[in-house]
Amino acid sequence: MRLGGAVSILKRLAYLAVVLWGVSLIAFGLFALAPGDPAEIILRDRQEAPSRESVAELRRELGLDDAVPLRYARWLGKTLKGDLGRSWQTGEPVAGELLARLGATLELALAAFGFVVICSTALGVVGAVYQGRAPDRLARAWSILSLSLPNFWLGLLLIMLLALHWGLLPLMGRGGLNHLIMPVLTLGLSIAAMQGRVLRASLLEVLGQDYVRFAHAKGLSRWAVLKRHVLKNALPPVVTMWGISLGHLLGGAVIVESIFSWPGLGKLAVDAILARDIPLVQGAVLFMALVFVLATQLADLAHQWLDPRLARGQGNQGNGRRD
Amino acid sequence: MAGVTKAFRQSAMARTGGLLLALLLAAGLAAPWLAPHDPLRTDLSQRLHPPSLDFPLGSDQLGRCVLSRVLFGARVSLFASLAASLLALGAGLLAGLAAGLGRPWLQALFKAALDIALAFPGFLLALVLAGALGPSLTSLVIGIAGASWPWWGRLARGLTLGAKEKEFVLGGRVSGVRGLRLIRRYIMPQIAPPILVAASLKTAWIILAMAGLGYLGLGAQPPTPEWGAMLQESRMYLVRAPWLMLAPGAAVTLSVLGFNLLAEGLRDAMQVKRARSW
Amino acid sequence: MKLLEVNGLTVSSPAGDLVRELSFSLEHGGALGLVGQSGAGKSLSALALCGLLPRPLRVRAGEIRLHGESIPPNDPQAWRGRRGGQIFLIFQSPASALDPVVKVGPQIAEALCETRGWHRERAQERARRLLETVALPASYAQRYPFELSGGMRQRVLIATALALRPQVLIADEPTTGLDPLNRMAVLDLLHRLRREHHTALIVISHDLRAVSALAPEILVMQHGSVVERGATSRVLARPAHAHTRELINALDLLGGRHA
Repeated sequence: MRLGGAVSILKRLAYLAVVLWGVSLIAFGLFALAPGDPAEIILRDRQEAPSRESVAELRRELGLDDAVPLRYARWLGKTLKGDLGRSWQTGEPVAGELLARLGATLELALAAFGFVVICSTALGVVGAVYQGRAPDRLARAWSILSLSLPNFWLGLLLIMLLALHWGLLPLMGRGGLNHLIMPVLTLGLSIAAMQGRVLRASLLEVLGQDYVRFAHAKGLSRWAVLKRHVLKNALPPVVTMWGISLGHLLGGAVIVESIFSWPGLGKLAVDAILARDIPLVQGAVLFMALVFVLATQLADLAHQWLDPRLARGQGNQGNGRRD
Repeated sequence: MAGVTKAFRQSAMARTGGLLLALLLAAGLAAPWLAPHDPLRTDLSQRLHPPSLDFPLGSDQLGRCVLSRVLFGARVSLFASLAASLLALGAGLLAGLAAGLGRPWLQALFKAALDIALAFPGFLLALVLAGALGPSLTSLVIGIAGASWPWWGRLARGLTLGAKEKEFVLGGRVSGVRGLRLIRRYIMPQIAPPILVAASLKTAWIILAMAGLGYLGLGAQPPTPEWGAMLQESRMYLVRAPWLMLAPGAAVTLSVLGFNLLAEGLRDAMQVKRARSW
Repeated sequence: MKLLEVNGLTVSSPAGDLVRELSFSLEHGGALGLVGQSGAGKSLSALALCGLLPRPLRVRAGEIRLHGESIPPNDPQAWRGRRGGQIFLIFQSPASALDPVVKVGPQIAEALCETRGWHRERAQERARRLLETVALPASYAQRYPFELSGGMRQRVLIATALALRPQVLIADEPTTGLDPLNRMAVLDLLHRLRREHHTALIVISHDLRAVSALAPEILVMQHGSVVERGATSRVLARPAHAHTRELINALDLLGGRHA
């Protein structure tokens, strides 16, 4: 079994490598092949008029005249060494720019993640316990509504009411806890609603199982049944979802960071895309995809670890099956 | 398919969603007749009027009628979203079927392609694609479709793999039904209902993404009335002219709500049918 | 005073009655068989007797008395504290009655911790001994249910019953789906429980054989109603109701009656 574990880890790593290689192809290909001459863009960024000679010289300098596969190989080689190139706008190393923004994104992502976990648990448990009754309907209506609210609109509404109209919260930017409230709400509301639905479905599925009724038959208290059997069975799929949503949050909350001028990776990526600052876009995209892939993989591992059927390398034969 | 129609008739939620969508689409189609003004005509003497008889939803910073712009915006936003949705659905279905039914090497290839595409958070991929193609409505549609098809592909692949193993499908395969006939006769009828529900949910996401990217400045360029772009322009006037922000935001919300209600209602009705079988 | 008295128990779903007017009584150490085809309402009766009916099912009429005390049949609180120690139910399918993500030992032990207030270690140790009593290695306490066969899982359920030593034990299809050796072993264990701990048994089965080996008295159910009742030997020898004859004939055809 230990050997099987090692093989499965190797397989997983090999697969991860393939996926990341594909990611690098997309990150490189998209902008390298996109319309518009990078040399002209750079010259404009430097406030120089792009003459034919200066463009040609810059193209040579950047190696833009080489064949695409060669350019990709060169780029990949440097990337693997951690050299993501320099931003065309600022001339600073891309890796440094990314790291400088990491703290802000991390702060927002973790705060929103906490909010999502708490809210989705509350929504899911209320929905499952009061299935079909008023609290469940209310939770459901709330969920559908928050899933339908565009977060950029919600953000603007919050800014208008809480910051501008009542002056309760700071308008934008990063700072103390006050600054986190609106971005976290904007970011977390719909994700919490979605995960709450998943948790509710998962809980209901488990609550209807024979082993839950059998646990009651054994004389266990409600709380013991919930703790020892219901949550243990209902959590794994939810943990996976939580992991994926953490990946989404860490991957940069693009819109929310823009609305609230939050100096994180998402805002950096949008600004870079709009300015066609290709090295910066490539670096940001690569980084976000990497974080996202790692988060989903970790969620998957957590799921395997939580479910003994998967942990012991067996299928789920003979479970919950009625004859 | 009959099951879906029946589910639609049974669920009040699905009907509400359907009605909402029908109204919004009709409003978009009839915009030239419904709109009180030309959505593009600027008149600086009429700037930032609050809602009145002349401008039912007020006027914007260039004196354009907000109601007219929201109505014409429905054409842009909704039809672009539907186009992106259909494009992604078609591509994703094909990829999913290939990944579920094709020869082993084809299955492996498509599965890897799907996993690579799914390694990006959806919105980020749409943003990058649309950004690479340059800001225009077409590149927005392509970008969003390009970011959504893998999602469909994964769903269709999973459903196809499940459907393929059902006994009557195996029976059909043994008796020599192959290729398109197998897909049409055996696979599609099984995977269509869940795909329809998912289509509704995904279109809701696409409308959100479309308006979101429009808000970020990709997509339709001024002066085209597009809901997301209108929201971006309203930012400067949150206090002086809140109606600029309320109208397009509400339009996006209602459209998304319509698709979400439709999906939830259909799923409910179809689930109840299964649960009653005991 | 009777241990368990059931009068006119009627279980309903919104669509109609599923069990009608079930009445019987049971002494300490007594045994009763409940026979009928699947769908006759046997398992629902069992769930109702433990206050475990899944919504939207409920007890519409009738009375359940335990030690002479009437228990409100639809009140979950009233049953808590009685389940496990006083009345216990072994579920129909051992595959789904055991929690797939919890090891077998703790699933037995938790009953003791909760109903008797035992320490975890003591309960775990008892669980291991009980596994040996039902002829499983004590080390199986560390296994998950999916790592056991069907017969082993049924023994785990019985070990749980042995741990709880309930005054009333309802066994729902305890031998269904088991091979002959396992079937014998399970019947023997149930018999021992009754003899050694004075547990009153209610055995539910579609299989007259399993019931006749354990219960001196049986009720035959069809479509939710009791159609015949009496001493097991009499019912088997001179069935009065057509449905009982059907059940017996089916058994004869399979050549099982005297096996």
